[in-house]
Amino acid sequence: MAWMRSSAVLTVLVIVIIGGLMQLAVSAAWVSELVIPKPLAILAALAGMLLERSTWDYFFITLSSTLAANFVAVGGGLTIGFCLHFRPTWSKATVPMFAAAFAAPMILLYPIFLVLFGRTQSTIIIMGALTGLIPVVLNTVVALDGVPRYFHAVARSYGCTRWQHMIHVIFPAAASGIFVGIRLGLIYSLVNIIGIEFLINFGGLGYLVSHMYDLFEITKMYAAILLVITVSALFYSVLNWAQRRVNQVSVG
Amino acid sequence: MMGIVQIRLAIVLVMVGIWELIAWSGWLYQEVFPSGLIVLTSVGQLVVDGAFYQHLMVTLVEILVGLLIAIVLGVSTGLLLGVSEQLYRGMDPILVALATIPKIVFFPVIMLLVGIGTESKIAMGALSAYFPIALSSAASVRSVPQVLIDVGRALKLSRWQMARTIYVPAVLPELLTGVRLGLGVCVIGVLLAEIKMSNQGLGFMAIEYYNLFDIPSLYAALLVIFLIAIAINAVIDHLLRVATAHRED
Repeated sequence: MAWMRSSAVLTVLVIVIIGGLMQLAVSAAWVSELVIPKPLAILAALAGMLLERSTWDYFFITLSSTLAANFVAVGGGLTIGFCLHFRPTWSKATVPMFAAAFAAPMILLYPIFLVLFGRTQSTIIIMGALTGLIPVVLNTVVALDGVPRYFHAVARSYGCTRWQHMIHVIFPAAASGIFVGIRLGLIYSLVNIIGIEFLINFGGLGYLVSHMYDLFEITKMYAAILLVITVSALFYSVLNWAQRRVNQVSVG
Repeated sequence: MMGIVQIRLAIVLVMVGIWELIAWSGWLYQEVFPSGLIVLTSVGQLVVDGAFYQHLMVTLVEILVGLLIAIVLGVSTGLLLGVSEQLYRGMDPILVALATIPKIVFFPVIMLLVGIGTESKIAMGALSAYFPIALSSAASVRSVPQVLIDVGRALKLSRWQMARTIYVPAVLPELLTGVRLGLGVCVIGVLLAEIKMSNQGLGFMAIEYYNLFDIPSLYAALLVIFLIAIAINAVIDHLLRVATAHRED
């Protein structure tokens, strides 16, 4: 069957089967509805929540935190990455430090930021920016260092100025690798922002999940989790699409 | 010209210097920005306190059990997806989508399913570690070179011999990478769950200091937790390197 070869169809089929089994288990009272609500009830709750203005307010709080964190992470990460590329000794000294920080569980430090900046959106944005910045720095340095030497030789032989060399040679050659870092940074920022919102009961979508649990609105809590999954998946898909577009134009 | 070591030393000294300047200047509340010496004293008090080791044991057991559950479930999923093309194409996008979201938002669901005791922290660790292990297992099974399988068949190896001499050595490196990634997120999952809702474990200990506004002890606890998390990763990294050192690509 040709339609069975489509990944999207298969994925929808798997979701429908899992949802159907859950609906059956709850309808047959194998599982308490207080623990797992019926999937159709969750979808109805989600639809209801999407009609409420407050849900969109929570979404825009998460979105604004993510955009602010990403602005700092991408701007700061690219600046540091470019500076390190042109200072090889500093690069050798600091790249292992950035790599160690990347592997370290930064989110566990959130109580420190809570102490320093309070239970505010600043704490969320700073944590998001910090976790997003490191992969941008690392991938920018790796991408710039990885531009083939003969690209530079050709640019010099054409008498390119430093600016032309950067815009027409280095940047297009390194764009794909740099965007890998930006993509990772953006995903890490979003994940950390929603996680911290949940942990400190403050902010947007993460807070919404925690708040619904505190109110014991279980169906709405599941709907809020579904919303988080949908937003994350959409964000991830858009970034993957953007990565493919960058790969197409990158010459590296 | 500064060398690599001097640059690293300078960065650390500048950071410590800025911290101490703020701590001693009184620009910010000293309770919030204690001197490094006060924090180090708190670290000393922490590591000689018997309660610390009780919390540490609880956390380590939760991490270990969570990781074992994730390995069993993740490898099983990976094997299933590895051998069935249709199942792989149907499930992989779901697993990838779920792998990229913050797992801690599932903690309320876990608490509803298994309660708020140690089980919930184990389940949180297992859930966090499950995705990297399942995805890397599936990828590793699918990447076994066909030529190796053909050689095994040509030699008329039994199913057990095929598994022992062809499949396991071929999938092991990537599988172990998944386990290492899984361990990293398992540690985070367990500690965050302890911070959110617990009455024991290192995460609970840290957030209890925050609730009591004992900030030097909070910094000390987080410093120790951070170092333990890094040490666990480093030990596993080393073990994996030793385990796969004999393998020739």
